[in-house]
Amino acid sequence: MNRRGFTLIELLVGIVLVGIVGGAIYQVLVNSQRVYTLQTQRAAMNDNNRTAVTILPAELREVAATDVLGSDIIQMSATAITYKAMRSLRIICADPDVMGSRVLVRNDLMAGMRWWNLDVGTDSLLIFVEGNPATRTDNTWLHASYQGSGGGALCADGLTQGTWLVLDGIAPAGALAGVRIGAPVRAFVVMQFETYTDGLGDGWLGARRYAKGGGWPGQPQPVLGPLANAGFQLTYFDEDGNTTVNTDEVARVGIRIVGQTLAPVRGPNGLARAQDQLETAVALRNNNRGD
Amino acid sequence: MPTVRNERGIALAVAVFAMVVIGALVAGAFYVGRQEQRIGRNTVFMQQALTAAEEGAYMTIANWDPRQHNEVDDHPIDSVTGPDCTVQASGEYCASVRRLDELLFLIESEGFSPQRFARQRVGVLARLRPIELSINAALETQQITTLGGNQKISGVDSEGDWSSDPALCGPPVADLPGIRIKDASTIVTEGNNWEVNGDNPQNNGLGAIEEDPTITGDGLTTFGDADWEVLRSMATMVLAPAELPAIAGGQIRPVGDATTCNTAVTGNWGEPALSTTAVPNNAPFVAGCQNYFPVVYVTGDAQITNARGQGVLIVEGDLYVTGGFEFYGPVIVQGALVTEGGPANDPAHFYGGVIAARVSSGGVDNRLAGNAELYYSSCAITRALQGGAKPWPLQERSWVNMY
Repeated sequence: MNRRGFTLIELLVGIVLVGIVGGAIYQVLVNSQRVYTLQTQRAAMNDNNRTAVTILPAELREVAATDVLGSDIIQMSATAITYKAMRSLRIICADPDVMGSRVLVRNDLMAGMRWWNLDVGTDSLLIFVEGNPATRTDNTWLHASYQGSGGGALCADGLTQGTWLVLDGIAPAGALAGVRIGAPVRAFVVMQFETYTDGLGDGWLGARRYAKGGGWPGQPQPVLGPLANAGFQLTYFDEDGNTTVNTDEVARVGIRIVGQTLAPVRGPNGLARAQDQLETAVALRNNNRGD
Repeated sequence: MPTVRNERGIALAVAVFAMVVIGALVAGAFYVGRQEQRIGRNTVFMQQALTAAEEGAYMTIANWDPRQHNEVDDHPIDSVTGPDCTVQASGEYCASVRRLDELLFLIESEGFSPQRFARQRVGVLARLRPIELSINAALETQQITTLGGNQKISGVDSEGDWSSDPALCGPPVADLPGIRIKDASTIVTEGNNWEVNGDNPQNNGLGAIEEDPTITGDGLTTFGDADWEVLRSMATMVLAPAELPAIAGGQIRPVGDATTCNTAVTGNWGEPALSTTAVPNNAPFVAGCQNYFPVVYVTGDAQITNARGQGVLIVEGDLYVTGGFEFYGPVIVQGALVTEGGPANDPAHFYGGVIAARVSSGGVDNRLAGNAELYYSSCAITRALQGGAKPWPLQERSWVNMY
């Protein structure tokens, strides 16, 4: 019978060796996991930051702050902005029905983020008014609230179908008579971006859409976060590059995002939530050109 | 004989397992990093595409060809020109132009990043901006005008040779004064063969000459919201004075054939003649240039001896016309107009209206002698202004994100 075994010395040496190897493996595993966690956390944070500098300029680029009937920027602060967000473009295809307060728009020529339908609860319209064709100085945009579809009809060209858009609150009053066939119609909603703090104390950037009948429906929906303290800053500049607090003078908006990771990660200063920031600026494309 | 000891253990399995786990974590980290890099790069591509799309829209406006775009119909039939595509190292774009009504256009531009990794589409609403000229007489000026020779100035709406095509012109407008001048006492006459026709609502004994003391040099060279600077910026052809005599041997005439018009030639100022009318000096008729109405700006004094053209002629200095000249469209001169000489069978013909502002009190005086004929023509003015008009983005809300 084979009675050979391990001596005590052999066992001790074996245990020590296993401990050393195991410890080394454990250390490698832990470091790998930390790197992985750090990578994924930072990637998520960077995604958030990039989302902000993609969405916000896209939203604000189409704003006109200089409209004589009121700036598209309704309210603004360093941490929030309420503005008219353009959503679609349509084209008038028949003389406006002034008595019925409605316009016929083409079904075959629409564009924008949400061109397929309009929402009575949130959407309003801007309609180009040529005025006197001999001059461009009286060109303007009529403001009206969208009150629903008035059914379909044939456009004035006799070839294409259109849809009646029923209007209300036309401003300036009587301007509908000056709308010509071919005039562009822009649909917009009132949007708000603002920061808020969640139940865990983290800052977030949220957005919500104004309901014409009932104000702001509930809390903002999260767009990006978590943000670092004071992690969302808007700065407003006029056409001379000076900062301004007047909504009708804004020509450019500076956006600064300081995001942070969702969970703490180990860094040079120990375990903490990593932060990173992105800055961008967007020029308002639709301000009055003054030329 | 010693037996072989069973040395099987778990070290290899543990090592393999650890390597797999570590490998997975490292691969995961690399994957996340790679994805991160890709997402970041896609953001750059998207921005490149947006920039290209915007460039496409605005370059289309900057390079607007009135003969190509101004002639299309309103949407939906035959309303689109393009797309015209341009490829550059920084991206590419394809832009098309859609006419919405008589004045409005929608320029749709699709931009791509290099290698077409990203695409963006933007639109610009643009409105034709004809020069808003207000022509109130066959000749408008401030002061000092010499009338002599066999010259004829008429404020009666004339169509010239274009009267042979009823489709070209609308009904004539009411007669205007032959001359509208700030100070009629500065008119000097020579001989009795000159003639000024038209209407003068003042009935002040000056015949067809209207005197308006409110006339100023700036007033004569400012039209609607367009001052002289804006007017000059609308030029489609800019010529230095020295270039004029060198043009095609001193002759300004249309260059092209029955279907094409070579607008790169600076001596080509369009074809005012019709296929049914005689072309001066039996020159060839160029049908391809009939819809070409350049806005010509001469940066100093302009001396023209042989010319046939149409459009808008803007002269920074004085305009001297001697010999055969036939021009349909408004002529705006900062200085004075001098017409002299010219054969009786080929006089200088202006159809449209001439403004000789004489903004500076010194220098040359207006002098109309020889065989010059100035006719007010609402048709020539309208066709020249609309045919050569270029669009500008709407003053407000011109930019559209079309996604």
